[in-house]
Amino acid sequence: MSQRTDNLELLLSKLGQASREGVLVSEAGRYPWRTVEPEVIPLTNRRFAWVRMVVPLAAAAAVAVLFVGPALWNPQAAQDLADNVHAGGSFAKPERPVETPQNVVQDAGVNCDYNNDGVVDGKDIQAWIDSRRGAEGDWTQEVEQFKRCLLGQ
Amino acid sequence: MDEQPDKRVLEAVSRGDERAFEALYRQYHQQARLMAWRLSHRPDWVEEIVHDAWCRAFANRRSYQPDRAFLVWLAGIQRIVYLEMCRKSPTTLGDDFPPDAGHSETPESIVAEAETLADLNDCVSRLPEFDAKIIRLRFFDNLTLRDIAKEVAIPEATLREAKLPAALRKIEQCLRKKGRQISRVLPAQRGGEQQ
Repeated sequence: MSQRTDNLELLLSKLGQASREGVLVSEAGRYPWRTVEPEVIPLTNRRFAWVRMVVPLAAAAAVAVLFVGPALWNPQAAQDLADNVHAGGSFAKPERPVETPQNVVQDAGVNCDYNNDGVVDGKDIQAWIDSRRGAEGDWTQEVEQFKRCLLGQ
Repeated sequence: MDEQPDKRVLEAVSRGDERAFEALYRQYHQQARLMAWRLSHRPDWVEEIVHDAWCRAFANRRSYQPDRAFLVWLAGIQRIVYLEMCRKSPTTLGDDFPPDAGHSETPESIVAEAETLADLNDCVSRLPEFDAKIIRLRFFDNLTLRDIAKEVAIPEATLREAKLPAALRKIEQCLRKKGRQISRVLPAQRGGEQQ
């Protein structure tokens, strides 16, 4: 073979040696100058983190309004509701009547009336959020408690 | 020849632009490994040399002068890393270790060979499947012509006289398109690697 081909063969042999010794890699891989990247919550996520908390609250409020609302405007409806609670597979009158929102405020031992209108209802949600805005820490317990207040439990 | 990066990319690197540096890393990662291998003759050191050199290059990217070839700059850093490693572990250097490794060769010569090998690797990967197979069996797996002929089920004479020379010609053409003249790439250094 020609000198040119000889040189090519020599180069191919070198390349083959590099391949056998694991020098050739197809992928660039991760950037060496970067250490393990910390998990950063994007600013937009942080800004709207309160939405994750508000959604279950709103759902709870909707349920509360559905069950408690009629009792506010129509005491008879509240009585009917209490009389027809489905308990243990049969329709029976519960041992305790459905609590009115005013009772909830007193019984829970926690003041959930954040807007101070004397009633715990969906209107307290915004006031509750306003009171927690900017606060740090785990709100899970408080959210649960407030949810229970709204549901009248 | 390997496609040179846009001058604007090099200027951006010298201004400290991380994205531009990442682009150069993706473009040159193979050459950088070949340079480290070529420089150290130690496959077990390649990873560390490459890693340290890229990290240092990134940390000092603002000192890079865009009118200088990036790989030559990187090769200079690799050589510093390599020499530091030699100083740290002189006992690991065997008898077959080139005594002047890292000193006699300029970054330019190391870069030239690494770029040639990277281009060659690219050309091999672009060959038709059959040609690539016989080239890999011959030069990467070090099989004899007889074994290759058996492997690809063709007569040995056909392989020797027709198929292998044809594959080599295709590689030559590919390298020529990249601006490489094979006969000038390396001085004649016939080793014992041929069959």
